[in-house]
Amino acid sequence: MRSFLVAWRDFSSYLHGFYGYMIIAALLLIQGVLYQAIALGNGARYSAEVLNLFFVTATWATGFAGWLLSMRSVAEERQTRTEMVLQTSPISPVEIIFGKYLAVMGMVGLFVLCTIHMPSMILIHGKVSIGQVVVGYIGLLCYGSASAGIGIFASSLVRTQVASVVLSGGMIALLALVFWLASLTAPPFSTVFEHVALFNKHMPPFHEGLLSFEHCVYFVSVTWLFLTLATQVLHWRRTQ
Amino acid sequence: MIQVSNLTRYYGALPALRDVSFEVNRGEIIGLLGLNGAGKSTALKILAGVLTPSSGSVEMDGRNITENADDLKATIGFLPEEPPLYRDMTVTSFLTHVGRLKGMPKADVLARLPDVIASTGLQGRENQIIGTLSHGYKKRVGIAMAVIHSPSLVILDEPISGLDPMQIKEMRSVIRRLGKDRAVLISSHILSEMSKTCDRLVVLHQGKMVAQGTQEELTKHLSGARVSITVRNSVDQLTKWLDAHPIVMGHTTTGSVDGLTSAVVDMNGDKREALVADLITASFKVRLVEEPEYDLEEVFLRFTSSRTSSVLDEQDEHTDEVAPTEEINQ
Repeated sequence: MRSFLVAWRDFSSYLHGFYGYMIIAALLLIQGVLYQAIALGNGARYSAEVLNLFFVTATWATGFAGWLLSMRSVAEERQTRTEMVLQTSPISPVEIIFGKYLAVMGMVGLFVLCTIHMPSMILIHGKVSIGQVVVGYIGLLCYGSASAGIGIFASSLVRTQVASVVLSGGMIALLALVFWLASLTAPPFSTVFEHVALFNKHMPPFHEGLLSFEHCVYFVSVTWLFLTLATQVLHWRRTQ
Repeated sequence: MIQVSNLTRYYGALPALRDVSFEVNRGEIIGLLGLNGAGKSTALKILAGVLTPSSGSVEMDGRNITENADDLKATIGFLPEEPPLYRDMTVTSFLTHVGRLKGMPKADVLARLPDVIASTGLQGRENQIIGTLSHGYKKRVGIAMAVIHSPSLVILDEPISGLDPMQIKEMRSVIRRLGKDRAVLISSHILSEMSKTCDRLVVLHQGKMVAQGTQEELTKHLSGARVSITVRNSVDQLTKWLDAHPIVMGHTTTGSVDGLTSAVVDMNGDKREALVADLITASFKVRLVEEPEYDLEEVFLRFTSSRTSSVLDEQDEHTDEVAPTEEINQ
């Protein structure tokens, strides 16, 4: 219950300031340009292919949204010392981190919602199933959730938002680029690297409209792992 | 109500608090005095449930604060030195948020708000964005935050730092009002204010508690250790004699007027009779012996200065003498 108080406070803060809107606006602009350049401005394509490319560009933009919006979640509380409000309240680190996660996901959801006009146009004027659109959006939320989880963990480790964004950026890049290691190594390492990689193996099925339990579990696991690590950081800090 | 027993806290290998024990009762305002690094903030954070002690315990109505932190936090209000305020919220929305975090239903928070706003002097600022408030008003919001949930223990770390004299006066009455029906623990560097506000004082030095009691008790304890004497002898004579005397720990000769020399003498304990007897035996023409008056600043400095520490250490070594902390506790 108290997680929702934390979530609502953070979400309101995003809505009342310029920060959240600026990030969403900038990412929408970049994503729109990429979508135009990659999916629309390069000869005739089937609708399903255009939709697939839309979700590819939207995935990167959603990942950036989760990454950038989460950088302030815990670090800003430490920076402004408002963490004391939470530390002196009967609220556990799990509730705090979950509340922070909900707030970031609220903003990620808002960003994702702002992209809805693009697939809607394809849906109206082309021949794609609504299922592909829905599954694509589930994929976006999964990817945004994982990057938000990583961002919140990084934010819990450091005191400043800049340090947080650099650290989480490094972690997300590492998890995304680990796929390249798969092509340089032999099994079983290549198999492990393939499965750990954030993007290449787990996102394409969503783009194609294939909802897979395995890939959903992967993103839920990544989110859970990093949020758990973030709660451990808060626990540890109380005893140090 | 609050029983602090042998509280010890290390930061790594560095001891911030060592074996600190005291108690706080309902309706009592306790002041924590100490130089920077004395361990005041660490002690307050442990009592607020923010930090865990390395050893020792804090019990609130018989319940260990570390083991029941989540339950007891709902009954403790804490204002750190820098009020932790969300600058983008209005006063009312912030206090409502804090009240709800403390576990109060929204209706109860809204019902209590007018009282808290009035008692902290925030009338007319309810809908103002916190970031636009003056420093004094931010402190008031901090205190309102600490009491919104009707805690039985209120902890205020440097509540008057940075306030102007008028604000300090108002803050004093706010704290006094709080202390009527709950336990209040405050720390401050402004000793005159502590003297006016607190019922009892706890003096910390280098992580240890060196004294506790009312200001009168602390002054009474120290008073015997210092005496002012005036003799009809030369400055040199008196200075040499005092330098050589074993019970004299230090002295300040204030000058010679009309053949009279005055000195304030610090001794290792209440040995006034012995000092006067020795002066007469040494053929000094004693004109006046009096007890100097102490203000809290002097009391504080006496307990926390390095010289006093050495005096206390010496006293500790004598089995027939009682260390200040124990003596005043009795």
